[in-house]
Amino acid sequence: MAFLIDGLVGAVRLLIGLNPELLRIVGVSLRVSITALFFAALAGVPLGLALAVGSFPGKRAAITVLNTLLGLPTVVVGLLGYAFLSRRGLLGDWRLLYTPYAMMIGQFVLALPIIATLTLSAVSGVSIRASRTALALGASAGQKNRLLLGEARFAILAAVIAGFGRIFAEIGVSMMLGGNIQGYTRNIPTAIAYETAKGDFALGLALGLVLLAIALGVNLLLQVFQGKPE
Amino acid sequence: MSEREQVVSLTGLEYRYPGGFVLRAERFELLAGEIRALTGPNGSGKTTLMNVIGLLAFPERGEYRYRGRLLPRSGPGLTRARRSMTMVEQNPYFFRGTVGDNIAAGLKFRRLPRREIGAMVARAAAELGIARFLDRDPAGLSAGERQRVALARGLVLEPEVLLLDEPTANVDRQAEELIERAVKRFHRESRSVVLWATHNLRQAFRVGDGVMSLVDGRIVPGTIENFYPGRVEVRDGEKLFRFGPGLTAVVSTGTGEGPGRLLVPPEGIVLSRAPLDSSLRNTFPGRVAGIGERGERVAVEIDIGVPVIAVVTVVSYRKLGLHLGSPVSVSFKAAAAAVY
Repeated sequence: MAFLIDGLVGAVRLLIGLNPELLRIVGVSLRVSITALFFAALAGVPLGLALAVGSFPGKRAAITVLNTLLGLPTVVVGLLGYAFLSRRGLLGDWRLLYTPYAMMIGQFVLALPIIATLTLSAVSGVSIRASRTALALGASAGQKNRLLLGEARFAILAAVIAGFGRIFAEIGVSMMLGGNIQGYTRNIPTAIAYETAKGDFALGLALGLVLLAIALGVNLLLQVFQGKPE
Repeated sequence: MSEREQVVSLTGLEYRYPGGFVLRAERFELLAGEIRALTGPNGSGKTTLMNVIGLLAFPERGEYRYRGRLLPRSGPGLTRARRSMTMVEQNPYFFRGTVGDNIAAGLKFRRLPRREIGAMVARAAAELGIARFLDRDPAGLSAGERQRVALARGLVLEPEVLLLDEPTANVDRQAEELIERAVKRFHRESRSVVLWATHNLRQAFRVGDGVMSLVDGRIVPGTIENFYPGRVEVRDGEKLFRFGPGLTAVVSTGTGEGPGRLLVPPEGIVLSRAPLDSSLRNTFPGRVAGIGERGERVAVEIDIGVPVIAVVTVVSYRKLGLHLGSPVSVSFKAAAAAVY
C-alpha cells in the first residue's frame, strides 16, 4: 500500500513540477497521434462518404474489409508496418523505422477503418431523405455530398474522436515501429511500460494519469457530440 | 388541349420495385399551365411516379422528355433539368439550421447572390404566413407550419413543374386551406405545371383542372371510385364483365377471360330518371343513396346492387330533381369501362 501511495505522491509531484521528461513524452504522443488522426480523417471521411452514397463494384467487399480492420490488433499492424519499413522491407529505403513518421503511419492505419466505418454509418443515417430533398431542391452531386457531411457533422466528429481514442493509448504500433527512443519516439504508452519495468513507478503512474485525463476528456467530448441529434 | 406544349412526356414507362410491383405508364403527359390532381390508394405508386417525374428515380424502361428533349441520367444536364422542378413531400425533411436556412437552400444550390436570396426568402415566408418563424428550428414547429415551410422552400424556386406529394395529408383544415390557396396563387401567377397527389377526392377536384388516378401501378383517367372485382367472359364475340349478382357490363377493353377489375370513371356515367333508349350499352336501375359536393359539380351515389358514384353538373342535377331514395337509371358506354 505504501508503495502505491509513494508512487502516487511522486506522480503528483512530477505533474505539478511539469517534469521535462514527462512533458517530452506527452508532446511526442500528442504530435504523433494528432498528425496520424489528421490524415486518417482526411482519407477516412471521404472514404466513408463514398461508401455511403456511391455505388460501385466492390463496395460491399470494401465495407467488409473495413469492418474486419476495426478489430485489427495493434501489434499486427506493428508487425506489418515493420515488414514494410525495416531495412529489408519494401519501403526500407525510406528509413522510416523507429521514427515518429513510422508511428504516424501505423496509427493512421489503425484510425482509418474506425473513422471510415463510423462516417459511413453517420452519413447512411441521414442520406436517403436528405439526399432526395437536396436533389429535389436542385443540388448538384457535389453540393448534395457536402450537405450530407454537414447534416452528419456531429456524428462524423464523434467518428474522428473515436479514432483518436483508438490510437492515443495503443502500444503495439508505437513500440514496434517507434522503438521507444527517449526524446524522439517515446510516447505515453511505451513510456509507461518502460518506466514501470525499470522501476520508476512514479513516472509511469504520472503518465498513466495524463493518459486517463486525456481519455476522459476525449470521451466527454464524444458524449457531447453523440448526444447531438442528427 | 393538344396544342399546349408537353412539358413532361413519359412513354412506355416501366419502374420495377424489388417486391415485384411494377409502375407502368404507356403514355403520360403534363401540359404547360395545367394543374392536375393524382389520386390513388397507398402503395399504388404515386410517390414513385412523382420521383420519376422529378428525376429522383429512374425507370428501367421508357422515354422521358422534358419540353421535348431527352434527358441525361447524370451530370450537369440532369442537375439543370432538376432545377426546373421541385417536389414537396408529405413528411418533408429539413436540413440543420433555421426555417430561413431551409427556405434558402435551393436558392443557394443555384448560387444566387446573397442579397437576392434574402429578399426572396422573406417574400416566400410572408406569402405563407411563416415570416415570424424564419429564425426558428423547423423541428419546433407544428405539422401545418412545417408543411408551409416546405412549400415556401419549393415555391421560392419558382419551378416550371411543381410536384406535391400529399402535402396536406398531416395538417389541419386551416393549414390545408392556406396551402391550397398558396399553390393556386402560384399556379395562377406563374402558369407553371402542378401535379398534386392526394388521398382526398374532394381536394383533388377542388385543386385540379383534371384528375387522374393510379391503380395497381397503372395510370387511369379520373378517379377510382367505381372499381369492382369480377370476371371477364366472352359470349357471342362480346366481352362481358360480371361484377355482382345480376350485374353484367359490356366492356370493350381489357384482357381475355378470367378474373379482373372493372373501373368506370364517375364522369363517364349518365344518369336519367328512366332507362335510356340510346347507344349506351350498359344501363342499370338503382336508387340515390347519397349526394355530395365535388368541386363545382355534384357527386351522386347510386345503389345498383353495388354503390356507383356519378359526377354531374349542378344544372343536370337540378334538372333531374334527384333526392335521396329517388329511382334513377345509371348508364355508361362500353368504351367508358376499363378492365384491368
